[in-house]
Amino acid sequence: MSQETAQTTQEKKRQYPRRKVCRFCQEKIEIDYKDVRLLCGYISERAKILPRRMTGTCAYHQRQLSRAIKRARIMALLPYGPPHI
Amino acid sequence: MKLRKYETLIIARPELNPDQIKELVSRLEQKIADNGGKLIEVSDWGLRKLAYPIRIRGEKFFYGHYFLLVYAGNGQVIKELEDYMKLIDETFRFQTVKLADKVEALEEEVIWREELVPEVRLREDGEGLEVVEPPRERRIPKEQMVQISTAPKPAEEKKEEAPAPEEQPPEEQPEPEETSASPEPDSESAPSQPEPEEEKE
Repeated sequence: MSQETAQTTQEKKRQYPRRKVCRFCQEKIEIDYKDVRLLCGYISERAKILPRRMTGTCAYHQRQLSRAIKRARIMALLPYGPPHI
Repeated sequence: MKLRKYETLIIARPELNPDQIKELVSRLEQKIADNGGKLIEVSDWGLRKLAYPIRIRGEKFFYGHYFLLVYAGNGQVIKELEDYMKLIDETFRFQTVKLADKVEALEEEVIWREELVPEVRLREDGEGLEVVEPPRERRIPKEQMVQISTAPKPAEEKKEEAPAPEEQPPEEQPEPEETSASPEPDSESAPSQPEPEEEKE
């Protein structure tokens, strides 16, 4: 297996990982700030908003997503960061 | 008057009982109706742990009673509703979002739903987030839900009680001992350190 990939990389430049597709475009999900279960999949361990390059979200839905996460934070549905102390 | 569809998510004081919540909602409904709006739906999320403690008017809240109002209204309705919620003591945070520019046919009855929304919190071991399904009925002692932040009060007392500056230091010392047990080992360790030094001399 490793030999094959080594050969192919030599022959054909490089193998790219499978391209991520925007989940919201595919499944036609409406982004709502109250949907905590959905949103928590798009924040990091330290409650930061994950970048597009990690989740594969399209630009349009990333804007909606970040707005929804910020709204959820205002209403204390999602944390701003890890707790103090 | 053109009406649009809005929703307002409200966090009320955690110690309110269901009857007080119903009474609060009926007052807010009256406020909407007075300005030409119409309450469509109420969704009661129940008592939830806040993602972070909220400090307001000298109190620190760890829990909140969430409910969502869906209503038809306009800018005037929102303004009156939000101004009223800023005045009263029961609510401490709210957020209004527009749902639609048009309202479908309005029903007379207000739909009252009870909904469960999972809580998201950081795991206690610090490894990532966890989603918790909160129980519908839960009893949490009031001390865990609300803390009266003591920061401003001692400052006022000191100003009143301290005509002479010499009295201030002894007053400050007992205060931390009452709140936490940590100063006690410190006070024990502090005298123990000079003793060996005297022996050496």
